[in-house]
Amino acid sequence: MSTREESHDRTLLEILRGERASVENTPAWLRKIDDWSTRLGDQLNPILIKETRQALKSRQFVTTFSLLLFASLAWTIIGSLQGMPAIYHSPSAPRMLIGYYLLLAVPMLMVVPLAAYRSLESEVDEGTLDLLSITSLSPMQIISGKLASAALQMMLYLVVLFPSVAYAYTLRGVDLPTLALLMVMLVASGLMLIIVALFFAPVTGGRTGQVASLLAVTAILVTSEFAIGPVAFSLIRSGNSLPLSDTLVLLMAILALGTSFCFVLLMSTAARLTPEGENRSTGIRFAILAHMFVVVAVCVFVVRWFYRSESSEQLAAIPIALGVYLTAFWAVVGALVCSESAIMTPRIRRELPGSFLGRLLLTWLTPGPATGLVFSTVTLIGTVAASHLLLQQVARATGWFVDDLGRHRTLCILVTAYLTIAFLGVRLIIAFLRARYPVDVRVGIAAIAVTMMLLTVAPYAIQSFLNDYRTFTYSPWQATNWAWTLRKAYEDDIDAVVIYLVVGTAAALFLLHLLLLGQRVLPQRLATPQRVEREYRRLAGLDLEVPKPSDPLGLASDDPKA
Amino acid sequence: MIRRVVPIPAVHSDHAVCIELRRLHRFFGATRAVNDVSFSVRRGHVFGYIGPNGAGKTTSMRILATLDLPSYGEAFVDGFSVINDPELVRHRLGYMPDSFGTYHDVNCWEYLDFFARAYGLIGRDRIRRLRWVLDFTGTRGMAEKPIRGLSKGMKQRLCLGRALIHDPAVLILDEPAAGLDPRARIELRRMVGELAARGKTILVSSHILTELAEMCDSVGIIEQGRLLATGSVEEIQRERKQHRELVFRVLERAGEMAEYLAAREHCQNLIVDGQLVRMEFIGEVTDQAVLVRELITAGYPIAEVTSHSKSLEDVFLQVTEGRVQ
Ligand SMILES: Nc1ncnc2c1ncn2[C@@H]1O[C@H](COP(=O)(O)OP(=O)(O)OP(=O)(O)O)[C@@H](O)[C@H]1O
Ligand SMILES: [Mg+2]
Repeated sequence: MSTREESHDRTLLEILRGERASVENTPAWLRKIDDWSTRLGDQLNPILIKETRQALKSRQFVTTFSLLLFASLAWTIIGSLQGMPAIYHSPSAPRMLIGYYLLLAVPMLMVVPLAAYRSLESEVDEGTLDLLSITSLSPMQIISGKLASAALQMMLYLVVLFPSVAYAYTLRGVDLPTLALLMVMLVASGLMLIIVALFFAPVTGGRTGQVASLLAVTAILVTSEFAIGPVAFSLIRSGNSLPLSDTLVLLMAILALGTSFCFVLLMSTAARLTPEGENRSTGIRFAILAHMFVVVAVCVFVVRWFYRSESSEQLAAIPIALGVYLTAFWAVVGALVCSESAIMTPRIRRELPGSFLGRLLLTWLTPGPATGLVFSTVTLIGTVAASHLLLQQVARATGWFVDDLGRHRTLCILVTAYLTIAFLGVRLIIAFLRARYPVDVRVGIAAIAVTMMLLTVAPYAIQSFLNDYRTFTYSPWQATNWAWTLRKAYEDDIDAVVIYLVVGTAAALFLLHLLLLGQRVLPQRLATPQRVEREYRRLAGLDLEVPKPSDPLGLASDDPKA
Repeated sequence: MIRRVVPIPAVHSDHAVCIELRRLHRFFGATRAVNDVSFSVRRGHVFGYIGPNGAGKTTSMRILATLDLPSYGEAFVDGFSVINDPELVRHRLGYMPDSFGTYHDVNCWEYLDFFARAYGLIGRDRIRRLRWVLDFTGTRGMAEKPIRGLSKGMKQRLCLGRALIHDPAVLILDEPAAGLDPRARIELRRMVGELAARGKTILVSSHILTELAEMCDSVGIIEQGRLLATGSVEEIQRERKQHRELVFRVLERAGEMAEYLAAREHCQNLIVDGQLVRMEFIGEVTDQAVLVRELITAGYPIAEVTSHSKSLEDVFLQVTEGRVQ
């Protein structure tokens, strides 16, 4: 050992000795608290700790925090003075609360989500994400650390305003459940907006991409500020007219929908931070399945819960909205899933389902555009069918909409068929492009837009041309023209031939795709190398045969027994 | 009594070859950033990775650090594939990038503490490890300084400390000496030497061969994504010294000897200067010996033979051709 090393080890030992001496001087209970808090800190997400430390020092946080504190104090004084004589005898809480809400909404629904966005974006920008992603933190831990630290800041803002809100409550005019509902609403929307902001952050590619995503995030934040505001105001002013049980059911339903959607967003944000060689797809597909399940289940439950009598016909809006949502959701998500990369690294293949049953059921969750197409189509058909069945139930029970059920079914079938054809189009376009250029999943969105455009414009243009640009009426030649066909179907003015044609084409193409899929796109599971398996077992602490640990401090030679 | 320090259970490498690149390719569109590079580094060795700007050093190092994927070929750290087992690679790998971003409002201690936590170090082990790193890199005095205010050299030290925080068996240092003053360079050399003595395998890159010559067991010279030469510095020097200046001092018949030499394949640019015959010799040392023997058997009265080898810098310039992508 060199003298330098020796001296350096000696200093280290001195430090440790010093540490011990200081530890012995402190009282036991303090030491216990210290130990306990260290252990607690070790359980927390490192990013949460770092960002909290950063926030406490950052100008942005300190400014926002003190501004909020100051403004709430100011409003407490000004608002109270303004309503001075009346404040003693008439309920004045709503007026004060609206002021507090306005104050709180800015940091909670704007500043914190934007700060979370900035924080993740600057990690990507400055290359610190590279350093983070080679640590033991998983992408999901990175994201959840960001989420947690943003949530903590949000809570701090909430706490600042807590005394003011309590003061407002004593002025009467707002009951406790309403206040609680308001807070839950604010916190839940704040959390969701943080997740949305994080989702947009790492999308950035170059300056234009950055500006675009910043604009998108700001637009979403502003819109939701204006969407949530009126709800909050009416809640404060007129309270909640629904009975408690109904309120709870509605709240739970909205939270379930929001949570499952946010889960999809979180999974895809994490996937973008995951290296290409790993399986980034299965998690998202699980999340999508869970979201679909929750959406359908919530709709069914809400319809059943709020069904009172035959006059509950407005409940039909729920399945119809569900159908519209599913169409929009799958047009985007299906396009993304169908443009996944087909590359299967040995790493991914190791984790493929191995058993026959597993292969049968889980293959559609494994990465790749081919399985993605089947996954999208099957889930789309299943969920759209569920929405139609639900509508049927409502219609039967209330007697309303019964005459239009056939029309709705036709529309559902057509939309599903058209989307299936569009997915196949996306798959073809992306496969074609990918053979030449590196293609991002997001190109899928453009691909589905192009496919949809072509399906409408091409037949229309051709027939216009053949017709010497004179107007013409709808005919089965326009079957691929989904816009026109759907309109005709909506007007209940459609030939059965067209429906058969569209559905038949979609089904035939889909089956053809399934047949072509074959063994080539359904790779077999690969065995994990023994050494790798051993290493994972060792890391999990399952292997007793632990190799001798290394001795970074070179202290083994200091051991008197050695 | 001093409590026995329990070392952090670091990942112990049991492979003889700790870094291995097998026919690694990485293309960015038409740019072949790394083009069929293979080499391996044995445990405890320091490998210098040398090349001009845009040679592909950073690209191949990023692949080794699991931050990028190769277009073709494979890379292994401690026998684990960077493509298939990135987690296992990350456990045993410390990476110091050529430029590294920092965080606002964070001081050095917090920065290192954050990464220690991110590598799963907990409790007193973490504190101990942090102190060790601060001492080793000589950054203890600036633990409380905000990172944004650090000088380049200080930042480099901190970054090295960060790469060492989880006691990795393999270190990848991308131009650690860039922007350092001479004293800091010597310090860096000492640190690298010490780490290698502790059994770490180190891959270190630089633009300058001389900078690495002393600390590396072997070097690889890369240009335009191609590995042009590998081996110890002496080997490369010996191999490349083929192109050297030879000066003969012949007592008579200098002109005739020059003609004799001009007809031979290894000799170029002959100049006769009185008794001196200067020329450039291209060939192995053995060829040189053969030539001298032939000249003497041919009866030329050679009094003196001198051969100028080229400096490391000349070797580097000769190996690389100065093409920029
Ligand atoms: N992300 C990228 N996209 C496109 N081209 C890239 C990318 N990264 C590297 N390149 C190209 O690959 C080649 C090798 O770059 P690399 O950074 O590996 O060189 P280097 O040897 O580290 O150079 P330097 O000494 O300047 O750091 C360069 O031509 C560079 O332009
Ligand atoms: Mg570089």
